[in-house]
Amino acid sequence: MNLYKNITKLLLVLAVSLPATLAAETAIVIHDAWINQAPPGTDVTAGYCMIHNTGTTEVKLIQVTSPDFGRVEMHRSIVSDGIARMVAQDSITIPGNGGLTLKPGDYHLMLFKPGKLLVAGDTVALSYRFSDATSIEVIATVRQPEAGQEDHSQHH
Amino acid sequence: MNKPRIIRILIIFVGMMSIGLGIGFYFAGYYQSQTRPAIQGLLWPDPKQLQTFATIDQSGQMFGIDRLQGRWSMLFFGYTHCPDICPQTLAVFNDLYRQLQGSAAARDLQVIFVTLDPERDTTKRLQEYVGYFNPAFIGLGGTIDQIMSLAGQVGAFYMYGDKSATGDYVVDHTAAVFLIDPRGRLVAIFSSPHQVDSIRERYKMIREFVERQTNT
Repeated sequence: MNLYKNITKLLLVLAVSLPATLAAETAIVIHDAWINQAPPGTDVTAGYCMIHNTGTTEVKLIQVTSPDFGRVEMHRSIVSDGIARMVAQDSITIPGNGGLTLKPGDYHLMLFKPGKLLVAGDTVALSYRFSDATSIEVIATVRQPEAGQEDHSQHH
Repeated sequence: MNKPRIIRILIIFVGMMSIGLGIGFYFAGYYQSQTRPAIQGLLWPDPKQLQTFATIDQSGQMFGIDRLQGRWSMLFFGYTHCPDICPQTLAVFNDLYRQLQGSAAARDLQVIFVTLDPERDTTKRLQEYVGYFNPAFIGLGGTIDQIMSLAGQVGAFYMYGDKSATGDYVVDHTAAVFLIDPRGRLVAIFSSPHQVDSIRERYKMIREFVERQTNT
């Protein structure tokens, strides 16, 4: 009787935890999404966010779309031999057990042709699509470019 | 009977010591003032004297070597369609400029953004762009030859990327900041990444050092 009860309990635990475990392999969470307020007359700006991957395997960010922009591309700014360049990315790999931050001077979104003039405090909608078929809708806030955003670790 | 003699010898001795010390201190001071202080990016003892150049500022006025003379200038290169690094650099300089306000190091400092993309960055556009970050900042453009008459002298580099279907293109460009003294000499190059505190402190130290060299 007791054994039967325990087995039932065990099965129940398994039944509950199994889907959770599967989902955890590619658990992507996006937060702190923001975009630069574009200087006047500029029809291109940059977008940033933190992408957490609590799963154990890496996931690729393969596309970002937005109803608020004509086009969204993924880029990485690189400074090598004193030359700053932007390199278009087909995808951005989000490592497992951690994640990746899109930040100034590094990986970022390049947002072309906003539908309207965007000023600090406005919000825009972004849709992130990942290689594991996850799709995440995010609201990003427009901010003024800040000096303190640059990360020290990007210096090679 | 020997007392006055001993005193005389003592006086001579002390006198000679003083002269020796004086000479020593003089040369120590001289040596110190000639020694290049350990400041990252400082080009000393061989700063590069800039020659004449002809660019156009954001008001459409000619901007040549005379506009650098009698002031300290921080010069950096970019393009206004640059969404990531350029706004970041301008924000850093805006912070720096604000932090220095009211100090001696700010009175005659000019911050200059030079476009390497004259096809898209017209005078009007430069005015809007630079003014957005700080109305005191200067934006320089002109034809690519005019721009290179300045950029070439400091060794600034650019390369245009391929045009996309919509006509967009990226511009690879030198990321460094160039510090020019009131005699039109390139005295320091600050390489990226640009940190407000680091640039502020190095600028103050270099300025003090160069002014001391110029006065002695």
